[in-house]
Amino acid sequence: MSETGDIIVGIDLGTTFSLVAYADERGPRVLTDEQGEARLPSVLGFGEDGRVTIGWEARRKAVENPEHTICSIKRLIGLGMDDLRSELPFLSYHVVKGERDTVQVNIDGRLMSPQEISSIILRELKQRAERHFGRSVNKAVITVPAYFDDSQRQATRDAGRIAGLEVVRVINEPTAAALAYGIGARGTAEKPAKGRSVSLVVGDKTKCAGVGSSAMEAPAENSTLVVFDLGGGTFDVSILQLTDGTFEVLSTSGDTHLGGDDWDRRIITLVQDEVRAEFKVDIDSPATRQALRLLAEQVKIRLSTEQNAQIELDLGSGRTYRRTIDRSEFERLTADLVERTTSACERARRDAGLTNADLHQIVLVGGSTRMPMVRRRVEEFFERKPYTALNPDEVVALGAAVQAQILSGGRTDALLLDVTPLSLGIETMGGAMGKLILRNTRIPCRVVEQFTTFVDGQANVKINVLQGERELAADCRSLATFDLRGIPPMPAGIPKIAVEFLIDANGILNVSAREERSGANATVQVIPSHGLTQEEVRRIEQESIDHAREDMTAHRLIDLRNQVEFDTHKTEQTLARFGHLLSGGERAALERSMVELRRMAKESSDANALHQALDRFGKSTEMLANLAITEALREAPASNSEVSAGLETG
Amino acid sequence: MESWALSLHTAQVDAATPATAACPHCAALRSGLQPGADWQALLAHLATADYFEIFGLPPAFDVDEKQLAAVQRAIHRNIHPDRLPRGDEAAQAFALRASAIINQAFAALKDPVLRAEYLLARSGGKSASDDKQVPQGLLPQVMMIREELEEARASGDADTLARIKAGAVARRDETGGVIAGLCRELQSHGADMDTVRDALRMQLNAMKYHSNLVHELESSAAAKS
Repeated sequence: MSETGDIIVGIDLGTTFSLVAYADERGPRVLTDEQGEARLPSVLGFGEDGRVTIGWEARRKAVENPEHTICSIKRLIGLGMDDLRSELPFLSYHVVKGERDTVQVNIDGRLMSPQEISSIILRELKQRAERHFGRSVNKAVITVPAYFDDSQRQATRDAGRIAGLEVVRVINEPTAAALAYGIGARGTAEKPAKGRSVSLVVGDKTKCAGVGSSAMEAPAENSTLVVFDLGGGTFDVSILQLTDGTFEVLSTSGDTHLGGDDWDRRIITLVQDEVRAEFKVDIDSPATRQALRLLAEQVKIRLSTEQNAQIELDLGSGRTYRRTIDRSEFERLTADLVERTTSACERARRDAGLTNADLHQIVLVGGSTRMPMVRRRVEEFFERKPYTALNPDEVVALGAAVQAQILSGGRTDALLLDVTPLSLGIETMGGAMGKLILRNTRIPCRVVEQFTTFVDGQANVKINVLQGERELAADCRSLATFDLRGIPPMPAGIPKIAVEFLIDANGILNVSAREERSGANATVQVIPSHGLTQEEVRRIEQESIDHAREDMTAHRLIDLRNQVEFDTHKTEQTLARFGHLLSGGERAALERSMVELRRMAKESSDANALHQALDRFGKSTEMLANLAITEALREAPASNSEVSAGLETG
Repeated sequence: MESWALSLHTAQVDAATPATAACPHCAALRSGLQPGADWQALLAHLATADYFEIFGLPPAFDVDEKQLAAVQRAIHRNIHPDRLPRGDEAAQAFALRASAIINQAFAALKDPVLRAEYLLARSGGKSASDDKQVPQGLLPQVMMIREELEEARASGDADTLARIKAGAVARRDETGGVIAGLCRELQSHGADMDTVRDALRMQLNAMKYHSNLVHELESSAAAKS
């Protein structure tokens, strides 16, 4: 890092955990909090006093504060009410419909978009990085699931902007993981599970030689690899070809609503059903959801290392629900979820035009790949032992940091060439989906389509832009309506409007239009179907800056009040000891100004005025302070050797 | 800025680039751009450049796929948005559109069917989709296969399904061979080019039926597994 250059950090904004990392010539590394923890739970708690808690603290308080705790917000970002039908019954917080087809979280009447909520997590990571570097950090590469559509990508970028970050690039999580893997970064070694001697040996080939499996091979220089990324809420699979530092994504597939959360939910549903049957008690209130969620998560994690787990639930009035669940039962309950991952793998493999024999390595990423059932199925499907030596929690953030390093010009030996995960098209006459760009097309990519008018003098044309693989527009997702305005008046069918659809390296669509007969550039107004408009983002960004200022004023006031408390207390002590050195008038004046300052600190909220008053008070105590020092020095040799010692060295 | 300009020269195509690399613009894309390049002129050239010329390959159906892949990687190392200065708007605007053109050109030459379509367009005359003629006997054949397929699906007859799939794959591959032959004929610049072009158009249209069927059978097999 050059001292003057901009710092660009890499951020993995995860469903369950988020991380921030940075890469320099020594390689990429995750930045940790004061406790040495790299993972920040993507959880927010809203206290009654308006205080927002983030991360571990919010996670700890989730059970007692369920309706004010927001987790897994990533499953909501960039989506509409209809997309979330199956999601809502499992949320402990309240979600309401927002503008257009957007959703908002309702926290005691305060409405917040998923973008704003995500921005709070991003801001926390930004501040962590700032503490680490001792200067401001304003730029980031943020990762998204490869299968995120345009709205979800835009929404993630907007969240960054609200957090005060310029998102210099949005990159796909499996691609980031491949980048980290490809340059040989593995992340921190996993700690062995408690009470068991499961030790994962990473990065030491000599020790692995005896294993004799392909799973521990070092990354091959030129190879074809599969990244299987099963996180807390999303699943991606990407197939990449590595050649001399160029990472070419051949295909990608996935499911943005498939992750560890879904495994948890099977346990939740099981417990709820059994409790209902046995005790005639319904435990499906928002208040119990958080508790059940944490319980289910613990059971799931335990079943990754143990054959069975105990579930015990105190239902009150002496009733206790108790049962044991063993691994095979859990695996039966969730078998269809694993199958959903394999059908995505099948599609990715087919789109890449490859067979298992062409694939050299299967890399596992994401915390949910710790489940034995997942590892087993992946091995079965690809007929190869997966590579498990990466830290599945950290590798995506590390890859993002490497990409940040590439973008800042600090690394020239690697280049990512990614693809767009979904086909892009427009709604044609009769409600069909007219595909313009097919899925798995390399980005950046560009298509120009001609449009014309239907009515004489028509000045604008609306285009509904879709993403998806289905034939009918209604079955695809509408990204936005593009309203082309400023078409010069001409008879119907005469204007030739060339509309350029350009997907950039972020996988985000840019649209521009030009009437070719007149050469006039049409203005394109974008009305996002599931996201925020430019104006909305700007407004929220401004509000958050204003809030930050308010917060800062509040902070400063608190600091100043503490200072007043401290200074006046100290002066009182000095007065008690050395007050006799002052004249009666001087002493009374000092006591009066002390009372005045304390009153002001209590009553006024004008930080600047208080600051000035504190300064004045400081000056007025100078005489007393000088007298006290002289007196102390005179006393020192006899009564206080520490003071004299201090004076000598100081 | 200075270090950026230098780093652009790190990606070099091997010296074996064929002699057709006459165009200095395209050669620069492959071997490295000079600092202060005229982005607009480069982009204007790329927008109309011949795909084979871009990659420095002889305009033929039989391409060295390894060479093609290597050259496109080299070009990306010179022009991709990630490789040009982040703050330079003109360079970034160029990089975005130039990369899109390179990606499109690479896709068109990598896939044999798309390559055949490009060669057809390059030789003049209508494209396959402008003239939807198909070889005689194809449509009745397709209808028969479709009927057979529906029956097999209704009765869950896995053996017949497998046979249909094998047949579809064989027809697709066979048509691929015919297309390759016609493309080579096209290159020979013989007497009756119009007849060759007509035949090529028909085979390319037939190819769509065959590959759609294979794709459909593969997808449904995947959905069931």
